[in-house]
Amino acid sequence: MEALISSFVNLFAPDTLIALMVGVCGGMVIGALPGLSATMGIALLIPVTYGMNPAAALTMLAAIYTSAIYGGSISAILIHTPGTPSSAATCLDGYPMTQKGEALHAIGLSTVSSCIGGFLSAIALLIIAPLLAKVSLAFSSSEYFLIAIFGLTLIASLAGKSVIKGLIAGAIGLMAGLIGMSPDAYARFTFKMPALLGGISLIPAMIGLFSISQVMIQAEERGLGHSTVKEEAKIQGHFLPPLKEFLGLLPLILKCSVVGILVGILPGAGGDIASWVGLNMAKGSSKTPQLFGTGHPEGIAAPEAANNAVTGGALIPLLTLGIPGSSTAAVLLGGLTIHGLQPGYQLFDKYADVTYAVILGFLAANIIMGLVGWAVGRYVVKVSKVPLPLLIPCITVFSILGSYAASQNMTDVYVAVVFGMIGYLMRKYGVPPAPVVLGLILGPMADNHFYQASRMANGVPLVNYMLSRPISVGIMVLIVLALFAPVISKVIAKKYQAKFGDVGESAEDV
Amino acid sequence: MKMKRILAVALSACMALTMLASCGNNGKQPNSGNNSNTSANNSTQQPGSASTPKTIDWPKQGISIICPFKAGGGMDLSTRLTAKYLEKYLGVTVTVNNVEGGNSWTGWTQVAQAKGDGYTLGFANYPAQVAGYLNPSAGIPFTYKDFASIANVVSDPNILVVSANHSDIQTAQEFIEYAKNNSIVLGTGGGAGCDDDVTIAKINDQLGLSIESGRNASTAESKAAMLGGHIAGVIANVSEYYGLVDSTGDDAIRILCIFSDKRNDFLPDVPTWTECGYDEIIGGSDRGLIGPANLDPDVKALLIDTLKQIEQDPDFQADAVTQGMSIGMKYGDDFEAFIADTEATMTEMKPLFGW
Repeated sequence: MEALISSFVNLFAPDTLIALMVGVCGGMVIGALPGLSATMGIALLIPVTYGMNPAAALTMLAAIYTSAIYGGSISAILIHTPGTPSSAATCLDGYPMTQKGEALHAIGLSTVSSCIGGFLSAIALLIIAPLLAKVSLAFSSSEYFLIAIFGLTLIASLAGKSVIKGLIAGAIGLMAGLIGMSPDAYARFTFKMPALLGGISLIPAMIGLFSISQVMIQAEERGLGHSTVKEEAKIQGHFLPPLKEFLGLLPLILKCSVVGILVGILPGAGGDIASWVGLNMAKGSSKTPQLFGTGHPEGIAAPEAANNAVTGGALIPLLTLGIPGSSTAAVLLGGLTIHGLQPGYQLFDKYADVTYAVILGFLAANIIMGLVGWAVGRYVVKVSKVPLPLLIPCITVFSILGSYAASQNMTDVYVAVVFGMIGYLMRKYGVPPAPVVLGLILGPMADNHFYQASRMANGVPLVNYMLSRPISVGIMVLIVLALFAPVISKVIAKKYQAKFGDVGESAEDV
Repeated sequence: MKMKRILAVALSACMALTMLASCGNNGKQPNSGNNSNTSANNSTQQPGSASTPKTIDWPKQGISIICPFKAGGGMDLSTRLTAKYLEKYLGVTVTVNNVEGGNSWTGWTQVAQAKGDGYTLGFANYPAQVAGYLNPSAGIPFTYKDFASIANVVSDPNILVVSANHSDIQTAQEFIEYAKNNSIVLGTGGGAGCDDDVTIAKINDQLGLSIESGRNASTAESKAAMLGGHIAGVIANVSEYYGLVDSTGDDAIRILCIFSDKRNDFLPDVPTWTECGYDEIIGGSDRGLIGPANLDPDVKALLIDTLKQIEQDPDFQADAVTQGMSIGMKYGDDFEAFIADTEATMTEMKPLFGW
């Protein structure tokens, strides 16, 4: 409780408030830009936060996360182009509404649902995370090793269309993660180059994979004359939904928020899956299922509540166990460690004032997001019209600066460029980049904890040691379940995506 | 339409600027992440710089100290403490650059390969650095002779710690009895040859025990494993557990003994290993300022003089107390002789590590 109060002091520090506002507005812009997903935006902006105090920096990043997911739906509604993969489902009913001349109504619905979804997920984060963190001391190397393995099973859910290609990407990430000094001080794959002893740094690799490769693709498409800019819609109508309509939608919004939070907590399944599941639920429980796809309010409220609810849910395992609940959360993990914060019980103990400030800031971000959306939402879509010849060089400069700033080291810039080229080739051949990051994060984690666990087993065979620990056995069961879950969720997503038809051009699933 | 486009571009440019600006503002926060040791002291541009016997025209620009550990840990705090007072006395910006990874050798490599102009310095800890290059499998192409040994600043003794919630053990003797009859693991804040690991090897060697060293990746990990009751205890440093002495929650601890020739000012009630009835074992982490081997000797002399003044500064002493840092100054040749000694001891101990 004391921590909660002192975190208020942290939150209301001027720099934190500025960071919060910048995060909300910046996130909205990042989300509305079809080329920039929340993941990529955060990867780019982590280096900008180096000089900030941890509370301000992480509040900003968390605000960007939720706000970008919301911003993505604005371009989904207005120009039938999901700004982030999470808003693809919103296109289906959002754009028809725009065509009917009710664009503002659609944005209003999306704003209200996003706010409620995000807000509830922040409450869940505030309540569940400290409880889970208390349990985290019961976890040790044996459990963390198994959790890393559990995380790796999610490659299938991040893989997109082809599991094989996902596995290829995951293997690339794992191999890259092996480079450098091993836990027992063997130099692996360093070819006697001291620069490689530290391994591949995560942030430059992510900037390369997500940002540099993306601008290469965009530059190429522009060069080939494929314009992605779509016609701008007229904006009219009421912003706030009528009270009667809102009350009618509220049960659905609440239901989808809970679904979103749960999907968020599950590692690997992010806002994209949640929004499809939400839409599916809405259709199943609707009295007027035939109206979906024609600009039905339920078809906006459901996916929007669900995809924003994912954000807080995804932060729960991130803050307590260091396990990212979505690929965006994986990037946020980098942000945490950069600021010297180790996920786990200490975040809710020693660093409680920072952690709670970030959680409360995240809560506030979800409200401010609604107010800002109300005020400027209709203009935000203009950002998606920034011409590529301006956007591409800006992102490139930010990428190179960002990767250098990580440790003021040219090696990291080379890493970013090399991973940019790898990412470009991967995208060209339809290999998703997200599993590479998963491999890069979880590979070394598994490696380290396997080594620690084998030392802690102290002569007992490792398998016996693990089987003697109840939590380890529980995670083993989860691993087996997880191997089947992605198949099911992919079937759901695919089925509904197919059923609802074309959803416009989406940013790469990152 | 064209207007709108211009408006949009202008707006996004503002956005980018705001972000950079807010970053700049926040950089003035004292406890911020990376490079903000420039803060606080700007207003107190220092009387000390006037009294420094400046025979050479140095420094003319900001100095960067490479800390090969991440922000927030014991090494980082030691580096920042030194940087803060170097800044005060030298009158230029001194930034701490955290370059992690490669068992610290990513950062140390940068120090070894830096220009000898004194604008790139580093922080090193012993015996970890010596162990790093003595381990043949690591393939490190440097030794301590590739660095200029400027001064040791912190001398943080090892302690034996158990969790108060998970362990009934009250004294070091009880612990050793327990270790004789059980197969136990003690956590460490680093891999083979770090100060904690060396102390465990010395205990095993002295008493014929076979305590397993956890060789954890960091202090944070061994601390979590100990507080969760997964290991019997940890060997750590005073500054790492000083903050938990009075804790009563999940992180309540019991410090059983200290591996030093005398009791520590921060932990006056904790007996030394010798007081517990065993032959003397001295172990701990010594952290000091280093530079590249070709460091200008005049610069090195000036730095040593400056650090000698810093040692006497009451503010510096007070800061060290707040952080639980045991100051152990050793200058120039004394520092180098100490490292050479450490290398000799570690070379003798090589078989214990299987090197």
